[in-house]
Amino acid sequence: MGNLIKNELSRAFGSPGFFVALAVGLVLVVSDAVMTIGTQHSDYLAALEGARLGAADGLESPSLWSCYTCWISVRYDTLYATMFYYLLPLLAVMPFAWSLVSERASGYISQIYVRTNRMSYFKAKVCAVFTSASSVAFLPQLINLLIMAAFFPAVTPDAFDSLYIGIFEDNLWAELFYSFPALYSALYLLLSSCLCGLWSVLVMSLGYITKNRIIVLVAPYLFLISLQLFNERIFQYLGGIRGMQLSLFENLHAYSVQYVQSGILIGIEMALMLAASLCIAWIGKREDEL
Amino acid sequence: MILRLARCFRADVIASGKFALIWFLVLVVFTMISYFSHYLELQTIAEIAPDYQERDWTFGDCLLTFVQGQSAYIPEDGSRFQLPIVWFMLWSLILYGVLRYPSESLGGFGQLTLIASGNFWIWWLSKCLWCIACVFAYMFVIATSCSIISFLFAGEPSLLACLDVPSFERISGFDYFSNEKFDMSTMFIPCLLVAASLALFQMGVSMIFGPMIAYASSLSWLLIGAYCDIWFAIPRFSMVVRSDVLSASGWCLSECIALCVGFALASIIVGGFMVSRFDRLKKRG
Repeated sequence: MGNLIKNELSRAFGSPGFFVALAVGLVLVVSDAVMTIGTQHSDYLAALEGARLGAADGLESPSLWSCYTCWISVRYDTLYATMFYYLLPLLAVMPFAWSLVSERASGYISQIYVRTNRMSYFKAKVCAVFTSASSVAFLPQLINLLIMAAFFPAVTPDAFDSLYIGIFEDNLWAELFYSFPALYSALYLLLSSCLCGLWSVLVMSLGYITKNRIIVLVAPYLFLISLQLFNERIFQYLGGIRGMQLSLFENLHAYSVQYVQSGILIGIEMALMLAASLCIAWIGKREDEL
Repeated sequence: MILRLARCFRADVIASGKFALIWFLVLVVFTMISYFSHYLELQTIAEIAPDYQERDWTFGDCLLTFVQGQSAYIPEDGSRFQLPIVWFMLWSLILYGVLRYPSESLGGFGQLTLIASGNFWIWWLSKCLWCIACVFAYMFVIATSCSIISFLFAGEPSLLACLDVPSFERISGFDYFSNEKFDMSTMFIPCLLVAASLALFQMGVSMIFGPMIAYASSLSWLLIGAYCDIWFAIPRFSMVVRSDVLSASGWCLSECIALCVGFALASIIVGGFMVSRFDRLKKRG
């Protein structure tokens, strides 16, 4: 089992897909950082200067330019941030979610099945797919936060600025944002990584149903867009019901555009993705690959 | 040469026919669901807005649901960009419909077609023709579905759409209940040109870098088009609210034709030259 995991991990982290996905993610978050610094840093310096001279503008809270409020996941207003979060479910499946379908199509999987237990192989695959997809989500966001920290102070955001920042009291973990922002950022980094990891595992397990690589990797993305459409409309028709964020696109970042995020709902979504992956794998592993 | 091109094209149509038929059905279902959701939205607005006037819905109103789009986003504190999801989904579905076949046709029976065509450029032009024909067929299916739906909802067979029912967010923001009319026939050429240029671009990228990167590139282009008004953001030409009829700095038809035809020709020529350099028949093992 240990060797299997090691082998799968080295294949996942050495695949060209991993480097391409990571490179695209990094280009987008660095571009976002450059744009945000370009528009915000001069305002921040002007506010500091105003505060030093005692001008009226000096009353502006410095927390508006905290590295936590300027972080891509919270600020989320540049073209690059939009592209990063909308492409993330597609980037997350690029490193290794294609492996199962390719191995089934080429017949490589039958070589593995005669040498090892099918469930052990699936577990090793899940481990590799989950970690590679999580890394594609985790590293670019972390780097964006580090770049922001190099240009803006790590001031705890002020709750009075919630109107400008957009994180209100009913947002997920909002009290942490205005008291322990570093913990809040760490939690959102973990949340988006776990969501991407589980999504990638689900996409990978679809490889048991079909042997077409394009269907496995791209068709689930169309399902995510449909879910977003459903999410945007359903609460309007139900009328009077407080809407919740169901869409994976919107749950990947801290700022919620239309509805607030619910921790319970995100937990259910994660459990559903895991359960669906296991069900498909349980059905798929019974197929006669030999 | 024309005969060989026609034969190649016929082989492409036959080989991709089954998937295209399935995708026609998917598009019909998508059109019905989207319009039904739009219809429910109108009913809800009618309930909450007392000055809302009941009126007859037209075929143009139905088409407007899909190509309405939204204005370019201007970042401000406290507001964030929201994707026009029906528009985005429409284009994602159309582009997925032409994603698989070209790259899959480089193996198996597709290789025999390439050999039988006798010339790479004939084979490549037939793929481009197939791509254009396919997206046009998808657009035709959507337009036909819209006409049937508007007929079912007792709509008028008119292409004039009323610009009063975009979405909930606009109730307080704009002159919401204006009776301004927009002639949807002016959107046919821009939408067909955008579809053809995006599909050709995607096919070229797909042949060179693979379908995943091609689809990601197309989605990126759609996101750029939805977000801002940069000159090369071709998808914006498929949005009614960005046209010069409704926006002072909007796009005009001549700009749309020049850019879309330019991008389509560039995709055909650059894609063709790049793909022609590959070892498509795996002669080097």
